Amino acid sequence: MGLPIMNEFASVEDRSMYDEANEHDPAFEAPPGLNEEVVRTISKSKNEPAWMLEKRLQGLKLWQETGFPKWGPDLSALIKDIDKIKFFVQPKAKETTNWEDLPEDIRKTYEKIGIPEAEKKSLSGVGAQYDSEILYHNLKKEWEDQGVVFTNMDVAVKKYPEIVKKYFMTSCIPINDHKFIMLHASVWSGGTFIMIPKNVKVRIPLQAYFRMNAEFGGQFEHTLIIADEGSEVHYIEGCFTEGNMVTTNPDYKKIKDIREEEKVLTSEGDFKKTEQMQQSLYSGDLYTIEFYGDSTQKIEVTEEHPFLYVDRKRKSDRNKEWNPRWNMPKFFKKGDYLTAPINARTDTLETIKFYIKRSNAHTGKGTRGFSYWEWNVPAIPEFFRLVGYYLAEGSISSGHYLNFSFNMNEREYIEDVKQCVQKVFGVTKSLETHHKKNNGTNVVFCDTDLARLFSHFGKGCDKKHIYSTLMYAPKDLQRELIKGWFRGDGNYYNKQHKSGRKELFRINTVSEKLARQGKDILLRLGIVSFLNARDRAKEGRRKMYTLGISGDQMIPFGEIAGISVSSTMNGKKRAGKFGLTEKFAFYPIKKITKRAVENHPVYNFGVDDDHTYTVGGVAVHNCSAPSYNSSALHAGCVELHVLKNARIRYSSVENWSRNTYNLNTKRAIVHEGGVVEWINGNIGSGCTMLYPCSVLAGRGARSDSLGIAFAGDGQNQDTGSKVIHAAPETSSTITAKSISKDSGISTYRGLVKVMPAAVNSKVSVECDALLIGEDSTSNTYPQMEIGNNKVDIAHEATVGKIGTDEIFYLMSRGLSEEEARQMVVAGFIEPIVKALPLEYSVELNKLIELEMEGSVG
Amino acid sequence: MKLEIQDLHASIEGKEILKGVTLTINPGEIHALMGPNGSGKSTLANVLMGHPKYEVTKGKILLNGENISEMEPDERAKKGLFLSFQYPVEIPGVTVENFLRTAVNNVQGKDLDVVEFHELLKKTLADFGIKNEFAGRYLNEGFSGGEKKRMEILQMLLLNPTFAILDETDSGLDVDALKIVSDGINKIKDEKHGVLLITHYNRILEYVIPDKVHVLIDGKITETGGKELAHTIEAEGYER
Repeated sequence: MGLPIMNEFASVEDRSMYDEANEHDPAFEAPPGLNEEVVRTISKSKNEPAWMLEKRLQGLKLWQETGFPKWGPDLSALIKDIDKIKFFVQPKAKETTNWEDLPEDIRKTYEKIGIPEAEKKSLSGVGAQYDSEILYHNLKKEWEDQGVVFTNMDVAVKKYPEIVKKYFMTSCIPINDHKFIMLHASVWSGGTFIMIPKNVKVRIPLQAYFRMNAEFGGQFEHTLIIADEGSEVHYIEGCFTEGNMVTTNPDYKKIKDIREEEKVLTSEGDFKKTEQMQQSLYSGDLYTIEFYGDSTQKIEVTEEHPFLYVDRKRKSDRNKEWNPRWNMPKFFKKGDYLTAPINARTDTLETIKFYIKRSNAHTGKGTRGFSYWEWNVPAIPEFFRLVGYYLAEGSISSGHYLNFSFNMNEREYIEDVKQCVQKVFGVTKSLETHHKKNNGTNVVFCDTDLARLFSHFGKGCDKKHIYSTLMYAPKDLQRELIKGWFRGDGNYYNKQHKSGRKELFRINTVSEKLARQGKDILLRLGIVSFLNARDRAKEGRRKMYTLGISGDQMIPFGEIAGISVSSTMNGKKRAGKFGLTEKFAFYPIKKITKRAVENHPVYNFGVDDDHTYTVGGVAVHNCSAPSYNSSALHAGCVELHVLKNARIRYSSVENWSRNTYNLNTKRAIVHEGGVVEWINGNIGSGCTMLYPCSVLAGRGARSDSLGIAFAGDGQNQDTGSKVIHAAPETSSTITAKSISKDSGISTYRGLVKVMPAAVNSKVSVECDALLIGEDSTSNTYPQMEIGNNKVDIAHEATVGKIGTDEIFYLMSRGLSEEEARQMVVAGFIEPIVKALPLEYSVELNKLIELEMEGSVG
Repeated sequence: MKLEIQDLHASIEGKEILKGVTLTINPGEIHALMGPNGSGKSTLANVLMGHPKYEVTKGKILLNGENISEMEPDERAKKGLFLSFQYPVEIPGVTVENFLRTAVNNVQGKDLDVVEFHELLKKTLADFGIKNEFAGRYLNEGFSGGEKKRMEILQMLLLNPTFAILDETDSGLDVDALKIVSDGINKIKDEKHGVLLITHYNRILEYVIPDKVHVLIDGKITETGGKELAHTIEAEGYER
């Protein structure tokens, strides 16, 4: 368990938001192209004040008067399509969340990243009821107490008109800044408005996935952040491909498990390792959560890690209603419930396929070697029951003999095993041996094929497990499996104690995997069990796992086991700790502890689970583009006002679809002693023009910019950074890294301007490019305009290829060529990855690894 | 199990460097390979490990009877071959620990997780007298010459190869570093491991006693003898 808690995640869109918008003007939709009418309609649909409309119209006029830029990447395809673009679309939830409607390449990417089946469902709207509004409110309250404003930009226009008037597209990015800013000014919609009051330090990053509620059209969103004197904030924006959120991996599982999961991904989607994740360090509070239902594990997570959660309504009573919502560990309370999704996949099965190794000498295919025989075993109750018996009492000896060991007095089961074998396999011959010493009876089937078939369920008691096909079998068949298993490994504890009668069903096994699989199957059958483990190392024995079924859960289990259980206990109706709906099980929190950690390695965040389908996901904000077929345009705008001694860190990972022109404008004005930090990851879009800019307007202001761009086949990533040193003693660093692959072009375009007044300033620019393949291109245009001679400037640019010697070195240490390449690339982007919060760095790594696929040879 | 080099010819860009090298190393043996500059010592090391730049034109490399001369370097590593590089490359952004764990898991077919490996590495570092911080540094980046060589020997100890080829691991080391490196080599010296020690100097042979000494001149082994041969060479030179 543990991990499945994160299995389903909140859908990106909030229906109520769309519904609200619909109320204003349900029939509204702007025709393609841009004209005054469209602009007026946008403004009207938002009930905007006149001054904003005026600003939009000014923007429109400028847009119409101004030509397209003549430098940088080729925009001709966009210009050709510009009149076809719908500049404002009333978003319809269905349009943007239907999994099937997504373009194939995007779907594939998500499948590779590992969005599981259940999450696909939530993408298509099924899981949409989990509103993140409450989580948001929790934080919002904390922030509001500090005076932090964090709201939709549309709302801010009406709610904080004076401030918006002062800061919105004025001193930072004026509406005449460039062609696409003019466009943005006229059609902007949605986005985020943040104000941090004086000296307030917001410790938890404000993440863009909160914006899922605040998304409108999306591709012209406006972000305005004002950090007042002495304040600090970290804002994270994930701009992922249209239509939905991207899941990042917020489950800080044991690295061991992450690796296992990756192996699965490799087999399915040729997925590679996420080594960086294992190296990440975390500073802050770490929460350890124990919960009823599984005492074998504790979940260790960071404070802001969202979980599906249910608040307990009354202290002494189990909840009657179960409405999961997102919540963070810092708000967790003992007794509240964690939520584990139940695997809902059920396959209709007529037969179950097994591949059995057979010696060619016996099959007439020759005298040497082996071949595989496909055995279709009928999916009937007898087979499932037999599997259950095998899991408990079965063994294989010498590779040819299938044994079942029972107690002598379990005659009924011995006969049942024989009958099942006959019914399923037509095998009638068996040997029975009796051991007086331990009152045992052995039934042996001397059949190599049978022995090999059952070895699919594990040889050796600690290796026993349920063959994966059976995990998705219909419930009536799974009940039989449980029945057989319980008959062998189970017992019914029923004793009168001083305190009253105690009753319990138990199944014991030394196979951890089997215990967890059993727990999952029971969930599918509507039974919540609890898992305990007992370390028996001192007795020289293996760890024993016990699945326990108690309280009200005994009634349905009793029906399977064929043991009737009364509906009352000690004169009262049977109670139970756990909650259960069709989709989820709910486990009460037993204990929460927290500790502060500094640079804590991620690998200590332990949550483990055998399920590979349960890679959880955090919903990241939805930047929806209106059309998947023609050119799409993202012309967002980010304005940061860093007042005296304030600090803003702005991180973003942008992964738009290939048909997107990402022409984004980001700028910060940094006043005396203030600091701005830009962290950018650009992948995906067909064409990007993005140059985050810092204007260092006050003495001692500082800007640090860190960027990575990945240009794969057919992509043009034109990115860089701009810094204007306008005051003395200002300093800036720019670190830009790019990877170009196949026909990809990446360009660093930078400008550092030091004004005459900016004496004693410091500038450091470093751009590194990595070329992969023979056809890739890298350009560097680092422009510097230095207006005084008291400036300290360092500039360094490198262009590299992944050299034969590096690859040879790594391969000589056992890495395959592809692994070696990926390790070099991962090292190359390490400085950026390190600066990003964990889930984003994992995301970035995974995406780049996907892009890197097949780059060998 | 033995490493057999049979009449090995190899060239780079059409130019023949190795002109028929034959050499057999049994487990438990340390062979020193000496020779003047440009005689093909490093080429032999690289060819044994499978550097793609070199082409084997004739002859075989047998590891436990299996011809490995067409195998990829990673396959050779997994078969138990190790090369300590004369000039180890720098891999920026990749930590020593991350790299080593990947290498150990790959070569030994293990599945050590971060915690398990961290403990193993800590112990190995301590045994080897290297500070713990080493693990967090980027691979060979900014390492001194001596640190790089120590790093190579550390890798050898962790990967525990059957046959290790040490390409001038002793060059550029001061006496202390030389002792540490020699200790490392002596640590794996037992009946199960073989070492091919390529060197210019006699110095390291004071700490690591070879069973055999070979002289490579112009791509061919011209002389083979016991450890006393090294002293003869030192006193009289290669061309006697």
